[in-house]
Order: sequence, then structure tokens, then C-alpha cells
Amino acid sequence: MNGFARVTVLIALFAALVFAGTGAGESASVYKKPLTAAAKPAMLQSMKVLTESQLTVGNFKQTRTITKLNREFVSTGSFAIDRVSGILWDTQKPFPSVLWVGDNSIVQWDPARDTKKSMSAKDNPVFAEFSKTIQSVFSGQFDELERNFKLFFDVKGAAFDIGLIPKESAVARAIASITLSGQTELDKVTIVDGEGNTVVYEFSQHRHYPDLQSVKAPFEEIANRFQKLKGK
Amino acid sequence: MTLARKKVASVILWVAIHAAFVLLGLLLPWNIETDLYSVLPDSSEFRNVAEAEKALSAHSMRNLTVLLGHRDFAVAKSAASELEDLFAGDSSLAETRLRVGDASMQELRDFYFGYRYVLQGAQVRDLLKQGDATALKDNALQKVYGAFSLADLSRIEEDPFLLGDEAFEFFTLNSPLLAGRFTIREGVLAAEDSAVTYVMWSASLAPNTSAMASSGHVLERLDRVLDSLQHVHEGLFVEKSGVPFHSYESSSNAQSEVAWISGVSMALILLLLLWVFRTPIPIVSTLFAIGVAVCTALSGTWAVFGSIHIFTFVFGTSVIGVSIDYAIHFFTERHHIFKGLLLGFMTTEFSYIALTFADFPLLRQMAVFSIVGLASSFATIVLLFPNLPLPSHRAERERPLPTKVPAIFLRIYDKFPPRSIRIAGIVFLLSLVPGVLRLDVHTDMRTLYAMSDELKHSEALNARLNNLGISANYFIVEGSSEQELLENEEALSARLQVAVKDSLMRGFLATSSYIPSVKTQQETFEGVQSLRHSQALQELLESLNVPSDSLFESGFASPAYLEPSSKIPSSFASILDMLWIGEVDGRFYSAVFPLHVAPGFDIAKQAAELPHVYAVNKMENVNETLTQLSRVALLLVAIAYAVVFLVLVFVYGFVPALRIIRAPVLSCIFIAAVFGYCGIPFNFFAIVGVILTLGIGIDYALFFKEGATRGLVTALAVMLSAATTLISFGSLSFSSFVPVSTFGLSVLLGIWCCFVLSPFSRD
Repeated sequence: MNGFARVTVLIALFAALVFAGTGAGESASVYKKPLTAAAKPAMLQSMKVLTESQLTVGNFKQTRTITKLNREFVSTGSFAIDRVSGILWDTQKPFPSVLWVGDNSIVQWDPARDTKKSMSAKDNPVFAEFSKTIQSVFSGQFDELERNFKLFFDVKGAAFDIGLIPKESAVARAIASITLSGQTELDKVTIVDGEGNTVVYEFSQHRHYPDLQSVKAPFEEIANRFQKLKGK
Repeated sequence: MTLARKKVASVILWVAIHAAFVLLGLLLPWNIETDLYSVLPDSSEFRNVAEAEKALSAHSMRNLTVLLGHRDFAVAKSAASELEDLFAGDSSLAETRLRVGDASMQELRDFYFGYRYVLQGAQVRDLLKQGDATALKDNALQKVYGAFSLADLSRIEEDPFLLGDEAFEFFTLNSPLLAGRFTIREGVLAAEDSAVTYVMWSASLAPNTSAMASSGHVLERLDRVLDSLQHVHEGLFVEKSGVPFHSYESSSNAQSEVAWISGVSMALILLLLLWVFRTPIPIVSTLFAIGVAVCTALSGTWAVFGSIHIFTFVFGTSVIGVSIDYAIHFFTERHHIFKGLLLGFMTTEFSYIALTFADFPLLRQMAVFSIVGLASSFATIVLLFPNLPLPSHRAERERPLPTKVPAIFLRIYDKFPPRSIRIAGIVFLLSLVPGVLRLDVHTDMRTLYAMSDELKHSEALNARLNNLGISANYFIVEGSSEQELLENEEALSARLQVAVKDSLMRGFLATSSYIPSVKTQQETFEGVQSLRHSQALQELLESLNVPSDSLFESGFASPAYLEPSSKIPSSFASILDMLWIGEVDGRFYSAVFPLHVAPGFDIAKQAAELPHVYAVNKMENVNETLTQLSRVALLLVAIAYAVVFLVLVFVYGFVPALRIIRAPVLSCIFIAAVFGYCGIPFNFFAIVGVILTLGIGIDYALFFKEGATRGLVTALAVMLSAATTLISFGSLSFSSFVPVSTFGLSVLLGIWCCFVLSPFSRD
């Protein structure tokens, strides 16, 4: 048996895994400005909001819009982006759930029932790719982003927009674009899927710490959960 | 009866015997077996599995993969595209695959959405069984509100529990097919290894394309193209893998090697015979006798078994060896040889008749082939050759046979006093004992095929990148109907899940993992139905702000069950094509492959007590059977030799009989001892050589015994026989193919020893 047997499954899954949306998409003005060599230093400078901190915690609001149904699903919670351990998304309302995207695995934790679902990225290129993409977006790994996306960049004063369009057509069918916007912090990430559905992440109350042990109120809970998951 | 009438009668008898065999053979359809299964003891259970296994192999044995690697992905992709352009549409290939379509996600999502009420993974089925609708509701809410959700929410009003998404996730995310390192890059499959990016190109041979090497073969053309691609793209790595490459390489090497070995040995034999007889008649007649014997043996075997196994041909070379010997004896001695020939013929036939009592179809076939072939050869020598226009005695006297060499040969023997010969004999025998004690009687087919370093490297790389870890041992599952087969598979799957939990294996590939039995699908449907009136449904609809359950209800109208004949998403179709063998002789079969098995995984134990599940440990079964077969063959030949000995005692008396039999017997011990000393496994092919030595070798001693009064001519005949046998079989020991060289070495040692010892059987 050869690898072709699994090709289409692979495409489908990768596409599905990175499935989510944003409002702006390609229509945003940033997509008129492909990244040039001259603009690269400015983009790297803007990306420092993602790369400089060892650990960033804060709150988020996720708005998921399903165009076909004209419906919105809004949820809120807190997040932690750790350069060593990965990203933790702690959704609190209206329904609690925790997602940890690490280098080697993706873990879904239901804190109410204390049940955990692990997906190993080690032996699964789809999960590995998913984990790498999420981490490269939220940790500002320029080389990785450049490898997988066509890059766009726009800056007005302190405000910046970074646009990402997947190079791989299979992925592009599921993710049309990812737009990162911010000033002194990453304020918003907008993901648009192939059908125009969007997921918008709006971030607030950013705090920076050297490690999880140093996290103070009001984010001790997410730091504890992160450590608990890591220790499990 | 006058001499002329006698001659006519003998020719008629010869024609009648041969015509009967040839006619019998021609009446049946011809069929050559190459399947290793047919060496196993005959039983209906194995026959069915063998047929199913054959159908499975026919599918997988045609697939080939070429990985084109380069440090620069663009170069690798460009080379792969050139390859695809050249071979896409080639009539020798059923299909080629390089570019990857990207439209399958929606196909898979739609498929699982359509079957959401009947296709669910173990986790959801368990929750349904427990009636835990709340857990299913919580799962759905997590998917809707959780971060980076994988779920497609566009049909949430029809499917508030997101069962379609659950099914999609389970059947695709849990698929072991995702274990490889290949990902899609710019529309092709690519994987990195040691800083080189490999692009995969694969193809299947067309059903009418032979895997054997021939001029203009598609694999020959492929090799040429790959060479030129490497020439054009500097630093391009080419890695080939798949059974067709192995078959092609082996058969290509075999063809050139066989041509060399047989060409050189045949030329040597012809020169030798021409030098001795100085006339082409004996040579042409000998070739005729061999040709007739082989054809008759083939027809006879066909008539008895209805097919012939490829191994029988190997063993059948004994017919050639003995035919040459009989013919040489006839042409060197001409007269007074009937008794010697008859005894030689009878003793050899006894050995082969003994083999027909074995409970192995292959051994019986080999024996029948040799019995018929030898009988034909004997009939040709005795009935036909006396009618040949040979030189008169006077002419012979004027041009005597070259007996100088045999004279020197025999003089050496005459120099030794009997006592020193006896002492030397005892020392010789004792020196063999340690070797025999070290003997390892064991056949392992794996050691008999040595793939080239290049192919070995390619296969290792391919396995590493694919990381599927398909086990060489697998299960064949049987059922009287498609559904029974799937249910039997599910019983096996349940057991294998435990093995996965126990870390004995990482997973397995089975049809029922994709198409559960209708029984399982019905159970799932019943479970899903219980959700309709649950409190959890109402809570869920409220949380999602879905005003009514009417869309959810509409899905229950008519459940469609997924069956092997249903339309399957293209992503899984090729895997299911491989796993699902289908109908064979009115019963249904499929294969289940364990993946990444640990050393402690016992395939036979997993299949134990599961009716209709067969552990296919093909290599082990064949090895074990060949080892057992070798032992049985040796035992039977030993019994036959005891009978031969009794006949010889009756004809010559005890001591002369012992003298005759000791040469071949000691030779066999000699072979065994040399194999033991050299640490070479005494495998099936070595033992075939031993049996051949016993069959041919006894003739030398008998001819010396019978030709005592014509010493030099007899010695010449034996020398010629031995020389032809040594040249033709001994040359095989130089073959790079382990089975052939082992067989050749065994015969070389045995015949050489027999030849050296046989003059001692003279009075």
C-alpha cells in the first residue's frame, strides 16, 4: 500500500482541522499590500508583540458566524500563549471547555466531567501541521508563516494588519485567509473559511509573565489549569 | 521372434508408452502453480484461504512507488512531473498517481452527515448504549463554543448533536492511514528526510503486464527515464519500492545468470561428449532422451495432479541428470549393461515411490515427475537406443574410446591395500560426525532472497516515510455472506482493540472499521432514536437557539445502511479495495492487517477460537512446512534405501550390497557434514540435492559393480556421468540465488564424493 491511499483523507482533515473564520478576509485592505522586502523589517517589528513575551495571558471573545444560517455563536474565556508549552484556550461561557495546543499533542479537556481527549501530533502529520500553524500564527514565527502562507502587511502608525493566505490550495479551500491586527498587543485574529464563514478572536487585558508560576490575578486559574494539563 | 521384429516391437512399445502419457497430459488444461501455499498440506480450509490470499496478492503485487528526492523541493517536484508526463497513459500501467485533488473534504463531510444515524465510533455508541444523552449534548456545545473547533456548524439545525461531525472525526481522525510523514505540498505528496524532500509518484501495473523482466518492459523504460532524470537534475535521489521492482530485478538477474550458467555448462558437456564419442549421434540421442523424458514427466504429472508447481521443475532436474547418465552408459558400454541399468533404475524409482507416501502434495508431485521421467528415460535407452545406427565393433576397435584418464584414475585406487582403505574409511566417517552434529535442518524462505542494497535502502526509506507499519502477517476473515463476514470481522476487531490497549500493536486496517455490519449500524440507529425524546435534546436546542426539532426529526424517516456495495468516498475507496477480497467460490473474504506490531504479538493467538478468522503467517507456515517436508522426505528415502539394500542383498549378497550402498549413503553424510561445518542451514533445497545424490549416486557404484569385467570402459562411463552431473549441477552453486546455489552445492558435494567412493564397490 502506498501513501496515495491516504492522500485525500489527509487533505480533508487538514482543511477541516484549521476550519474557522474571520470577518475581514481577503476583502480587508491589508490584502492589497503583499509583503515586500522593504516592508519586512517593519512587519518583524510589529510581530514583536507576539514574539517578545515569554508568556502572554489575557481574555478573549470568540465570535463564530455561520453565513448560511445567518447565526452567530459567541463565547468568552481566557488564553495563555507560552513559548515553551504552547497555547491554552480556556473557554468559560456559555459552555466550559479547554484546548491545549502543544508541540506534540492537542488536548481537549472537559473540566466539568474531567475527561480528556488527546490527539498526538507526533505520528500524525495533520495534527502536527495544525499545531504548527496555530503556534506559528500566535507566536509570530515568521519563517514558518512564510513557508505556508502568502504574506501581506499594512501599518498605520502603531496599528498593523498582517494578512495570511495559505499557499497550499487544499488548505486554501478551508481557510481563505487569516488576518492578525494589533497595535501594542495582538488585538484581533480573523479567520475566514472557503465558504465565507468567520471566526473572530478579540483579545483584551493582555498580561506578560516570565513563566506560568509568576501569573497573578485575575489569571491564576488559567495558569493553574495549564500546569495541571501539562502535569497530567 | 527375429531380431528385426524385436526391434519393431520395442519401438512400438516405446511409442505406445510415451503417447499414452502425452495424451493424458494434453487432455487436461495446463496450469503452473507458483503459489507458496500449495506446498502446505492439502486441506479444504487452507485451499479457500489460499484462493482469497491469491486474490489479495494479485491486487497489492502490482503497486509500485517511486520517491524523487532533492534538497530543493522544486527540483523534486519538477522531476516527478516529468515522470508523470512520460508515463501517464502508458498502456503497461493501469494508473499513475502524482497530483493530488483537493475536493474531498466536502465529500467526506457530506458522506458522514448522510450516514450520521447509523455510522458512529465506539465512544458515541457507548454513550448511546448507556443512554447518556447529556454527554452527547455537552460534546456538541463544546464543539460549537470551544476554540478552534473542528465542527462544521452549517447544518446544526438538522443535526444539533453534531453526530455527522462526530462520525467524520471518528472515521477520519482515527484512521491509521494518517500516520505517515507525507503531506500535501503544492498539489503533490511530499515528505522530508535528512534535509531531502521526497515527492511521491506511484503507479499500478496493468493486469496484462508481467512482473517478469523482458525487453522493452515498462520497468526497464522507467529505469532509463529515472537515470536520465538523475542526469538532468543534479543531486536527484531516486528511491523505488514495491513488489514489481523486486520481481523485475530478480527475474532480470536470473535470466542473465541462467543464460550464463546453462550456456557455459552445456558447451562444456557437449565438448566433453564430442571428445569421447567423436560422433554427434550419442549427443543428439542423449538430448533427445532428455527432451522426451522431461515432456513425458510433465504430461504424467499433469495427468495425475492437474497442475504442476514451479518447485517441481527444480527437483525435476534429476530426470535430466539420470537421463544423461543412462545414455552415457549405453554409448560407452553398449552391451551387458541391462542388469546394471535396471538395478540403477529400480533403486532410484524406489526412492521416489517412497516419497509419494508423504502427506505433502508438492512432494508427491515431485516424486511422480521423477518416476515418470525416469521410466521414460529408461524406456528410451532400453527400447529405442539399440535401434540406432551406431558404429560396428570393428569400427570401435579402430577408434577406441579414450580410456587413459580412467586408467590412471583406477590405478590410484588399486595402489591402496584394503586395510588402509578400511582405516581411511573409518577416519573419514569419524571426521564427518562433528559436522553432522552441528547441522541445522531448517528452511527459512526469508534468508533465500537477498534484495540489492539499493532496493533495501529504498524500501526502508519508504517504510519510514509511510510509517504505516503493515505487518507481514495478517488475518483472512470468511463469511457466508457480506454481512456475516463483517460481523466476523467485528468480533476480531474487538479482540484487536484489546491488543492495541495492551500496546501489542498500534492499530489495524479492517473493512468493518469503515463499513460496520448492518447489525452494528442498526444498534447505533436504535441508540440515536432514543435521543429524540430526551431532555438533553430540548436543552441543547434551547442553548443553540434552534426553535424546533422538526429538521432533526426529518432525518429519521428512512435510515440508509452503508454496505460494501454502497458508494464509498474516494478517499477510502482504494484502501477498501485492498482489504475487501469479496466472493471466492460462493463465500466472502476480507483481509485485516495489524499495524506496527510489537514483538509479543502472536497472530495465531489472536485468531484462536474465532471461527472463520485465519491467521495468515504465510512465511512461517511455509518455512515450517518446508522444514517438515525435508525431514519427511529424508525419512522416506531412508526407508526406500533400506528396501533397495534388501534387493541388492538378494541380488549380490550382503557384503557387495553394503559396498554398493555405502558410496551414496556416505556422500549424503558428507554433504550434511560440510553444511554443518560451514554453518549453512540444511534447508529444503539442500535436502533435494541429497535425494538427487542418493538417486544418481547409487548408479555409479552399481555400474562399477556390474562393469567389473570391462573396468576401464565402466570407469570412463562413470567418469563421464559424474563429469556431466558435476558440470551441470555444480555450476548452479555459483548462482547468486540462494536456493539455486544451495541445491547446486549439495549436488556438487554429493556427486563428487559418490564418484570418489564408487570404485570401491568393485569386486
